[in-house]
Amino acid sequence: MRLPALAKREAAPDPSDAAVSKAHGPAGPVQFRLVRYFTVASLVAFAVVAAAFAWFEAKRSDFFRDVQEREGAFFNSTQDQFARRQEEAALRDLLAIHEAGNVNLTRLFANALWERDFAPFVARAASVPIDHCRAIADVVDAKGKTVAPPEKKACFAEAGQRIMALPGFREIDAKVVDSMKKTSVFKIKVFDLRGVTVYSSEHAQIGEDKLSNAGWKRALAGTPASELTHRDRFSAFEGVVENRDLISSYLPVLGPGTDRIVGVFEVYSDVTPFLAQIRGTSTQIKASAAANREKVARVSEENQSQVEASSRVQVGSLLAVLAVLFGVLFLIVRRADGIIAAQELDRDQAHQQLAQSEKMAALGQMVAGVAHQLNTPLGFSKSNVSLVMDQLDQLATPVKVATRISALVRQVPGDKIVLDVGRSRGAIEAIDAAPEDVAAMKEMLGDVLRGIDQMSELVVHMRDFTRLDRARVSEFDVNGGLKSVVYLAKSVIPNSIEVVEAYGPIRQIVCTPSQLNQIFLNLIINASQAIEDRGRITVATREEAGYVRVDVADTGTGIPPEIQERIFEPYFTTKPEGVGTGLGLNVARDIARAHGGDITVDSRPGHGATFTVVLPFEAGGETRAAA
Amino acid sequence: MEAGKGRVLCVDDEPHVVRALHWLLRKDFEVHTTTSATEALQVLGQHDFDVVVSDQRMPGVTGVEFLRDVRKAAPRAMRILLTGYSDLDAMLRSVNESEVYRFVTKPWDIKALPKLIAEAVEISRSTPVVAAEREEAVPATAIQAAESEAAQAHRPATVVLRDGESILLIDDDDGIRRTVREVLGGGVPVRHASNLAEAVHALDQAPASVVISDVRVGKVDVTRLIRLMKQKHPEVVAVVFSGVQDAQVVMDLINQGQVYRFIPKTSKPGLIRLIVDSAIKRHRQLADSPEARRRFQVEAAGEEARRSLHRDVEQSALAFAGASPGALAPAGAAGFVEEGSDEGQGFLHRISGGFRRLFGA
Ligand SMILES: Nc1ncnc2c1ncn2[C@@H]1O[C@H](COP(=O)(O)OP(=O)(O)OP(=O)(O)O)[C@@H](O)[C@H]1O
Ligand SMILES: [Mg+2]
Repeated sequence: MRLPALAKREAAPDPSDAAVSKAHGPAGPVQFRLVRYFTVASLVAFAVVAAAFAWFEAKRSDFFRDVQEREGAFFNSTQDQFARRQEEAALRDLLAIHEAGNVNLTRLFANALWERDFAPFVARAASVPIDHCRAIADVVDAKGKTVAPPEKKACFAEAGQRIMALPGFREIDAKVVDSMKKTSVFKIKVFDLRGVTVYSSEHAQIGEDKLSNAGWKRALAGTPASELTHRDRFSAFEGVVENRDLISSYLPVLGPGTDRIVGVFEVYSDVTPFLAQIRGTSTQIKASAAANREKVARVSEENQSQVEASSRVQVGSLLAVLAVLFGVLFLIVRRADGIIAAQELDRDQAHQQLAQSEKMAALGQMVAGVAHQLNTPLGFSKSNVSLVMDQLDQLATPVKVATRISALVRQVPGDKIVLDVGRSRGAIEAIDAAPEDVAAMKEMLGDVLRGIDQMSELVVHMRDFTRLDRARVSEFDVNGGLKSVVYLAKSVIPNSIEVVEAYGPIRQIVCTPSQLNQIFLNLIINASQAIEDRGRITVATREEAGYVRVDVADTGTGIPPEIQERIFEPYFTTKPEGVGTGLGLNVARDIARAHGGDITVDSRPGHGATFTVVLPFEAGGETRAAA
Repeated sequence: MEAGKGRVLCVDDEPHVVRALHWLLRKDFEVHTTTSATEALQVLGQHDFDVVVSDQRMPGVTGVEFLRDVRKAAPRAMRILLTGYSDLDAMLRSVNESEVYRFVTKPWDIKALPKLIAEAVEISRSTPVVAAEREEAVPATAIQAAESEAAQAHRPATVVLRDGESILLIDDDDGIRRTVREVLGGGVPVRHASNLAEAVHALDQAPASVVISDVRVGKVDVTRLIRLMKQKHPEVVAVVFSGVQDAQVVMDLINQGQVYRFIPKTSKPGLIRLIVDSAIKRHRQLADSPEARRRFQVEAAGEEARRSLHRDVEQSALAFAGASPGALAPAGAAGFVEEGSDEGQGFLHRISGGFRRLFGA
């Protein structure tokens, strides 16, 4: 980025290039804003991650609730089913047990009573006609049910009366009542094969027709039939009882020793306490099922809330982790950004200095080459001119003598000249006294020699300035260095500017002279550029405790206080494009500091500026600025 | 051949230069000029030259290389190198390979140059050629060769000194001191001085055959000591062992100190041993043939130089005695410090006495 900007001083400036370098200024080229990009990108990424995670957590909690609910429902239905089955089974068992009991009872009864008591009675009852009663047609009552009309009932009742009137009834009745007292059997009925109720412990029912009764029919076919019924009122052996659960069983009576059905018994036994127990058990089971269900519901509720809480915690901790991660990354990135920026700046400066010092080196090489080239012609010119000047002295007398003689020859008319040695000696001495033409020649050659000496001096200064043939770090006479720099700088400083050199007695310092020369040249050129028309630059040196001090003062425009701090910054310049790069003072300060010294400025606008360089005696230098 | 006139050969690729030299020197010398080094070597075979002046920068060959050939072809001729611009490498090689008598920079001084050449002619004619000049004391290839282990095998493993011969090392760097001891082997007596005062004292105690020295110890310039010493004791051979990178310094050393060899501090042990060995041999030749010493004559040092050296020696003595009076004994001199209350003054007195004995009042 920088190199082209620098190069434009030498090469033809490309306007777009110049614009670019101006636009970016010292801050550098368009940068990848690392921190900003990182913040935006990572926050977006983290938000997406967090949202996805929260969504998954919510899904998970929903799924869990679903599973819980299904489990609960299944559990409930299982429990219900169990309770129902249990009750059904209990009832079925109750019925079966009682039916079996009644069958046995009937057998017992039949064995005990049938042959002697009931069989003859039943045979007798068969003489009581009932067909006429059956012949009375049924009617349909108000509810649409087919019922026996009262006269039919009365007919059967009348038949009952006749049966009860039959002999043996009282004995049978007494025996039945006797044997069934204090049992759970509440009622016994006996039907003959015609379906007529020939006996009932409830006398009012004797004579009733059971022809169309399903239970009677089944029993007649040989299968006992039982039924659980509830009676609000029931006339039992020992009187009327209330609110009872009863099992009524129609049971076939087999003739003793045969498989022949001889009649049908109907036995009513009381199961109220059993049923109550069954119902109690059932209620208990139901209650515990309900309790279980409730417990399950509660547990599932708890689980659910736990799951939700844990998922909240997870989302929360994920957010916390992401936040910490972001924080840490942010710090790292910011630090990295800072380091990168610093490195960039460093690299930039190093680049600049490298370019600068390469420029100086190339220049130095050239100057050295020129110096060497010049030395050869200067050598022989000087040698020859000096030689000629020496020999001119010897020529002076012969030339004068010859001139005199030729004048004499012209004056004398004859062929002979008589040389009066005595007289001539005086004349020759007179010629010697005024060797004007030869003297003039000598003077001319003297000027040539002085010209040659000046050129030699220039060469010496150029060599002293570049010092390519000297050690980089060496003992250096700062005054001598300044003399060379001023000498060379005068070639670019206008004549209207006077340069005053006021060197004090200072010791030699150990330093890198070529670099110090660069500082001095920068300061002197700056001073001359600050002077608008006429003015004076004063270069002074003196020693101060441990330091050599060099002041370069000018009578130029001075530096406004507000920019005095900035003039040492790289690229800071107030000069037009192509005149200043703004690097001069920056490089100078770097060099001075590498030598353990410094440069300061003191200036009042309108009163010129004084730049002061201080250098310790053992400066050394030759560090980073060396390149 | 004009009897008595010195015969000088001037070589420069620039015809104006040789012509100018010719005009300058023709009155006092028999001057031959050529603009090519090859031609110069032919001319060298035809006449017996006293002095050869050569430019350093010539197309195809450098002055140093040319003068090296001259040294072989005409060992009697004194060699003068004319340079427009000094470069360090050329300086070092001119010392070590060509044994140049003087450097002359362009533009030359028309008074000084004929004088210098006259002096060279005088030396060339009046002194025998030192034997070593007939061979190649440190051949061009020796620098590379000495660095290879194979070459070291048939070189002396140690330097052998005769009775009464000794080496003085002037350097303030302990590392160098150790290196030199290691390189020369334990049997070689090497005295060590780490400042001017010690050096003067050591030389006063016993003469040195070879002085190995840096250009400066601490901040003090030692070259003045070398110069004064060479002036008074030309048989002492000076070898500069230095890291100095300054062509000007090397040039001054040659012109003023007649340094026999210049060893860069980075040199391999083999090269150092080789150079010290040949320095000892040179010392023997100089010691055996006093007339030969003139070939290695130095420019007369002014009274001012002698006084400034004396000042520095005194300062160094004071600083040293003040800093560590007890440390004087290891400098290799018993009774170095005067017993009594004022050790510093006594020491100073002693050193001053030594200085006067060495270099005159
Ligand atoms: N002697 C001075 N008097 C007034 N202003 C000065 C003086 N020296 C420097 N400045 C101010 O400081 C600025 C920076 O100087 P610096 O030498 O660093 O850069 P430059 O001279 O502008 O460019 P460059 O030296 O790279 O060609 C100058 O532009 C100028 O404004
Ligand atoms: Mg500037």
